[in-house]
Amino acid sequence: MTYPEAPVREAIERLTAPYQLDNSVEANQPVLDRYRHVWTPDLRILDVDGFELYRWNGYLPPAEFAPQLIAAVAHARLRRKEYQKAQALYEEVLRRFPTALVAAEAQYFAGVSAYRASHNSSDLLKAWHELEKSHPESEWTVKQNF
Amino acid sequence: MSEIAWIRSLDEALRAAGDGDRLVLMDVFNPT
Repeated sequence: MTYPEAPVREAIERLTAPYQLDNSVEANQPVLDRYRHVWTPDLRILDVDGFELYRWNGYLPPAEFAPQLIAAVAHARLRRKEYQKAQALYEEVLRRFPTALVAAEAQYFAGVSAYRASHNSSDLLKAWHELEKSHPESEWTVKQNF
Repeated sequence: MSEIAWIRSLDEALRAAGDGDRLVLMDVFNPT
């Protein structure tokens, strides 16, 4: 079970308004259709107008769910152009969960959010250099090449 | 140990998010 674990519950309650629905209930079908639901577990981060800002599918154990959720909210904040909030959340992932599956992605976007906030390319390059060192085999290290 | 207070209505969740500078986590599950 993932949700009863304290780090998961804390992150959900601190960062989100948690909305849960059963895909076998007919009354939920309009919402499931609206979001083109296919498969569970199906997790989305929605803006306050219902716009989908991030999504993922599949089970994650608590040690992976908490950093994935924090990174997901960071992505959502980044898309809302709330760069400093995004950067703080990416850095929280890297500080608290440095070996998580999502850590390389968080490192990549920590650089993006820092650059968007400062317009200083050295902020981007510093974060991406760190990514090369910490996750040399990651797809995100491939994606930082340009 | 307390449990997460899941909201069961999308409209209510959107309102709660807007009131608290949060975003909505939507979790679709299948009970089987």
